[in-house]
Amino acid sequence: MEKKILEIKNLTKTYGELTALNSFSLSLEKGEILGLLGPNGAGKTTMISILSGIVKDFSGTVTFKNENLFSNRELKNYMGIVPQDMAFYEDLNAMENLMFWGGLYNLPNSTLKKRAAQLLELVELGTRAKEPIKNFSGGMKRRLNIAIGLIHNPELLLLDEPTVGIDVQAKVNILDIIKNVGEQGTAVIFTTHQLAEVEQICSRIVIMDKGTLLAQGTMDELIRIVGGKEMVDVEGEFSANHFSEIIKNQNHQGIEILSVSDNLANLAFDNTDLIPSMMEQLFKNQIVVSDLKIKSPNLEAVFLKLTGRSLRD
Amino acid sequence: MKRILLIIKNDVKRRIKSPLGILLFLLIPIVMTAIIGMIFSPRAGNAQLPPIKIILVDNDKSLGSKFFTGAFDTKEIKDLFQVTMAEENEGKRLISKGKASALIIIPAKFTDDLSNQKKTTIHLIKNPSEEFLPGIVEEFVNTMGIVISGFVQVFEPEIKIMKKFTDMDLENLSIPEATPFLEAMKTKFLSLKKFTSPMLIELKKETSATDKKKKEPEFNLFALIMPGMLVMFLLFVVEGIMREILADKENGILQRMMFSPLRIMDFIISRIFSGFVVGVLMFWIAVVIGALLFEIKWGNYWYLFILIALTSFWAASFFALLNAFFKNRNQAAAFSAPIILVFSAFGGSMLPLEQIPAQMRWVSTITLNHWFITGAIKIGSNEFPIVPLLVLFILGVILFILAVISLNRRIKI
Repeated sequence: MEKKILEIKNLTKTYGELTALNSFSLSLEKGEILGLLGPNGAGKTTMISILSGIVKDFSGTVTFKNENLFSNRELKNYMGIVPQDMAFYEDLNAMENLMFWGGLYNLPNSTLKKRAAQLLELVELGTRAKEPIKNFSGGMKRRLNIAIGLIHNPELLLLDEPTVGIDVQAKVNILDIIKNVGEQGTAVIFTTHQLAEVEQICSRIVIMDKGTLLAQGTMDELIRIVGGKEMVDVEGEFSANHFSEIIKNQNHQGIEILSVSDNLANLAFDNTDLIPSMMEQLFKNQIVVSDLKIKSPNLEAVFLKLTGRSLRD
Repeated sequence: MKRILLIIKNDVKRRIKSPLGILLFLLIPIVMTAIIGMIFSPRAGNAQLPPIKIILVDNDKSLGSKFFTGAFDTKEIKDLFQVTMAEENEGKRLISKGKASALIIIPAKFTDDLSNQKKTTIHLIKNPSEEFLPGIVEEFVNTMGIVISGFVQVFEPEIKIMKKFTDMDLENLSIPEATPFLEAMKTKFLSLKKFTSPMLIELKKETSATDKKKKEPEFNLFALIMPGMLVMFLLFVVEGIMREILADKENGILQRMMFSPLRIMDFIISRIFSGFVVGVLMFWIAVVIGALLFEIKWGNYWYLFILIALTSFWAASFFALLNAFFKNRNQAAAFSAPIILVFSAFGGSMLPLEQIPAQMRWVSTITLNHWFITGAIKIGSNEFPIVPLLVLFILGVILFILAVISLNRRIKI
């Protein structure tokens, strides 16, 4: 049985001079949860928009269930999309919304009712099914937004930053739902710029920036990119140029600058024994270090190494 | 088709769940119909015109002027006019203060001039702050003028004698001198007698409505007011639904719909028919209320159904087309309200079409209001409104096609 459900090849989209997606290729298997990680403007939403049929005029191919995704409208019956903004009728209750949105897909009414009830339980809104949505909290609305994307039991679920603007507890709930959906065999593409979220639930991670796929793999595979080095963040009173010169001039073997800005530097060390000698050089050059943090290799380090900037930049 | 029906059902359901807006637009025309109808309806109590105040100045104080002023003293005229006799200066002072609807000044030598077949003028000064009541006085004075003029032309010699008699000292009148005139008068009166006694023409007063009640539909002012009010507020309701095309686009609902196999054209068609269905439902509720509350005889209900359906379809298509050219729902709201008001003003919802200046009356023919009101009145008169139905149908179809094409091109998600 074919496991691959989606294959994207050389997807390119430009807006005038700006290249939003640059020859982007990707494939996805059933039950896989893919985290699409990148800063604002990386091209994540553009990619989701192309897959959902909103953005047109691009080059490249998208094959879904072995068919050109854009040649057959009925393929949309197998794809669920959860937009970043919540879109549903606030004057209807949760059950009525699910029945309406599910009705737009080819689902018999009886199946739809059962599915809606199941989903409301899954997103923990079962007891509030008949309540007006305008009474819901932000987290509850987010969960309903996801339930609507799942109402027709899609084989592929696209989520565009589903945890934006909600509290920690609501975020945890939503991540649990996504994990649960993946475990039931639905392939998930999930865009975010929250490293912790992808670390928590994604079976595979794609790092992209400026429309280009920089790296992809499991968490372990990506961490190997930074070669198992120790991560050190240095904070103090220095300029970026001055700090870089000192590290380079002293020819510190085994110290790699991942990123540096005024007053903050992210470094990768082959061995933490090199830290005292680096500190001595900084002191000699009259640089005051106010804080120094040693961290285990993580996704942030990978991101820094690949893009030269923090995900929050 | 299933998806189109689903969206229509959902739109109607949302209106039923939050009915306040629709109820308000349903209530306003009913209340307005009730108020206007009660004010102007002939059935509204036994309200009578108040007596019209007149100031009469008699500068002649002779036979002719007494004949004129005496006319105001008859029983029927007394009910209509409240006459105050005054001197000319006082009369002018009172009319300038608005104390009466009109001032009538009978000139000096009024009787002399009449008996000499000379032109004379009765001066009528109308109260400028009133329009209707002085008009009645003017008509009455005109009529009296015609009657008196006719009379003096027929009885010119006799009036001269009568004038002479009244002016002279009767004690000095010699019988031989008066005899020829009296003989002539007698002859004229005898010849007139066969025309005046008995009167061949008799005036019979009656109220037409009571006699005609059984033969023709009773006149009901509400039936004239309500169609205009209804169609005006239908425009507001349907416009609100059509504006949701832009609202759904702005708040991401339309985009989410496009994630499903639904086509944008399906969405446009379903939204137009949502407006159509809600319009028809609203109309029928109002029709039932009109029949129960105001006893309106709408006429043939099948014809009325066709008229209502075509009107709602026209309105939905028209506002869908307009929405193709608006950037957002606020712009749509800002432009639509004046359009509806202009339609209503020129189309006969706010005032009868006859009140609109003739040179501007053609504008009404491009309004929905005009064709619906015309159609409803014809149906109420037991006629089949073929022209209004045809116009509404043809224009509705054209507007529908244009709306679908324009929105399909212009809506970018």
